Amino acid sequence: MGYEITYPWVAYFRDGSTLSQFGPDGSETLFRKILDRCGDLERFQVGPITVDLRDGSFTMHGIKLTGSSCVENFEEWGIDERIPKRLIYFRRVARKFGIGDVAKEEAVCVVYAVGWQATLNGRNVKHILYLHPDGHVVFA
Amino acid sequence: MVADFEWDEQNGASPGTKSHALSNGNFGNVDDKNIDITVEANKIPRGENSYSKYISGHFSGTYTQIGPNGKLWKSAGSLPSGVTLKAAMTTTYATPTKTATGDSDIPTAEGSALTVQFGASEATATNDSTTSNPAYTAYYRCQLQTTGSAPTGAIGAQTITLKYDES
Repeated sequence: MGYEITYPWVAYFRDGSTLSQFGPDGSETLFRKILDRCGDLERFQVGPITVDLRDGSFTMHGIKLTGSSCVENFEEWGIDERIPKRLIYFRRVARKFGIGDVAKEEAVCVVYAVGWQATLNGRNVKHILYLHPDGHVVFA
Repeated sequence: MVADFEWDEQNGASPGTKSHALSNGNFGNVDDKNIDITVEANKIPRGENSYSKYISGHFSGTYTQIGPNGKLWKSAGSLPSGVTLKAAMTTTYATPTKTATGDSDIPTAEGSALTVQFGASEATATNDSTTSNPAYTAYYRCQLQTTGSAPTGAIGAQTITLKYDES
């Protein structure tokens, strides 16, 4: 049993081209295609959230967010546009298995994660937004 | 499109036979999948163990990667006094028996969950993530153990949660 994609992604590349998870005919592009072109990626949108890999900012419902939710990390957020930032995207899936009745319990909870990571001073730094099924967003 | 998912179970003398798309994960006094606990012969006598079970998560369909961050734990349900659920993740299938598996109690919090790894088969599920398609988790080996003071009847609803990343 699969699940519906609530928040399809759209990738924006430096040459101005875009690539959507689903084409007009409903055909799907695998995320692997983004990984193959990650060096050309400028922005990546998942539902209402867009991460900008140039300055590390996020845009959520049209509002641009810069700076970290953690004071100690503020200096790391978009500190230098020359520092290459690598896209983070995944769906965190939780499947429930009812011992007595698998179908009865088989609800699927999907949280969408989008962000970036970079190597700063030899340390891997990550900034991720988790988009939950009810629409609330958690910074990490 | 996303990964299609189903729960599989392996039964019988090693190397066993795999069944797909489980409808229940009931424990019993028999080595079988989808056990009907209303059948007298399937009920676990007090003071004895169930047959061990080998269950896995099976992924197919459209995806780039399954994992990392695989976890499994009992997320809901209370077991009666005198009844414990033992569990471990393993890549090795052994003929199910009523002999105590020697595993620990299944974790009941995500923070202490069993680590789940993935691979092209249960036997090769030793990686935090995989791009194999189809893909499997390692076996979730589990067994219900009872003491002589266990109450009569079903153990009540119990929920196991499998959590993982997918892209």
